[in-house]
Amino acid sequence: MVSAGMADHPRDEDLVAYLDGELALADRQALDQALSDSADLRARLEVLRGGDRPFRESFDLLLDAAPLERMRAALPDPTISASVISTTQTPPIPANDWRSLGIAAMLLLAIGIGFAVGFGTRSDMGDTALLAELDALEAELEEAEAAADAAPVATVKGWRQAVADYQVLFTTDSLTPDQGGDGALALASSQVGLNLDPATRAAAGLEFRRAQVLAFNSKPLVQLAYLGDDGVPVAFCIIASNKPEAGTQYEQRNGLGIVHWIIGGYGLMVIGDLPEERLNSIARDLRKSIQL
Amino acid sequence: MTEADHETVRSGLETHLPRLWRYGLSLSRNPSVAEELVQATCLRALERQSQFRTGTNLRAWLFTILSSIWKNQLRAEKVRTGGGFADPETELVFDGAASMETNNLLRRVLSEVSELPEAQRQAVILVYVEEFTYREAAHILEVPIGTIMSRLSAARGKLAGLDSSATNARKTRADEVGKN
Repeated sequence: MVSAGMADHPRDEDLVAYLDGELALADRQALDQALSDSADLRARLEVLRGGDRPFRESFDLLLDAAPLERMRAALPDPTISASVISTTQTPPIPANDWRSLGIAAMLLLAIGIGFAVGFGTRSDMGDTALLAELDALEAELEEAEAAADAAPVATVKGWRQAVADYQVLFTTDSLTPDQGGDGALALASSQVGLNLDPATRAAAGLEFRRAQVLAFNSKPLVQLAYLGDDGVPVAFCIIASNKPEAGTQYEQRNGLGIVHWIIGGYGLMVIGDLPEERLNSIARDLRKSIQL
Repeated sequence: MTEADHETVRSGLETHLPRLWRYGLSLSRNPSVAEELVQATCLRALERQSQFRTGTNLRAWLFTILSSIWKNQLRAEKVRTGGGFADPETELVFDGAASMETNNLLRRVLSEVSELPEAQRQAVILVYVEEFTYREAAHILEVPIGTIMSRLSAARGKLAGLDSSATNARKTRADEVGKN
């Protein structure tokens, strides 16, 4: 750790390490000797000692200012975290646990929008609007959670509605910049047992941004997220299904268009705020890209 | 990855939230960005919890993740957009601490540290505030130990009122003497 010849010509770094108790015994002893031999060195040591401060005490002041409750609330709970970021075995998620999807979306939104507001920093209207949106979503989620707690027996909801509830929270900024990588696509592929790689570049005009493994009714639900025409968020979702095969159908949920179909033991859907024709064309491209 | 590991990361995250936020604040000097950093750190820690080994230093692991997210993702973005940074002269002492009846000395220290260049500020926070060893700090920042040493020494010199050019001149002289 210490430079060669330190005892002869100790540098400031060595003196500071000495003050910090970071020198190995032999180096410390050598420096002790050098200090006892040199008044200049002792004076230098004292100058550097003068750069000490009650750092920890000072910074402890900031701990109380941490928005602990908000951060805690944003922390996924154990079952939720496993459903959102499933890298290993996914613990069972209660049926219709839409909350997991909602909270995951909140997190992604919060990270994606890159806001810079508060405490007197500059913020333009765009940021403010996004934050207001975020606050509104938070309030909505809290309200809905309270309602869910009050009436635990909720109606069973299909996977398409769960996806729609999640997708509606996405903005262009949620998917900017590219959040892919880290083997997420490989993980997603292995979770559903399909090679999803071709689907990342199958549809003209869709820019692949990220793969995610979610869960619905304890089953892996893969979401490939894209930015489509004019930055509209589009998702291609896949889940194992034991229902009979069905051709593509169009529907609307939460104001978003959905094209869905069932083939080879999988339910698939494309969702986004795009015209029916456009979604159908994307669905055709993606359908061809998946070997089923 | 066992249940125990999972729970370790999960509960550890919760325990370290305030410290992670404080570190994020010291890097970005912006409370909102600090919060953003913590959230991103939480997500990534949970994503990668299988890489964490029970019995090793969870706090250092989490700081490494936050540090990397700042360095590789958020920092450039915030610098580019100017969105994340307070004005350079803005001090770390913001509403929370400033509104408290706090010891003036302690508040002055926050202010002094906030004025250090980012690299020095990081080293000071990690070693003197978080009390990581030089080795741990070097690992968190992915730099050699010598870099931590020179950053701390520069920071101390600055806080001691030393002119950095004088410090450099002295170093150069010492180096020259060393070569002879």
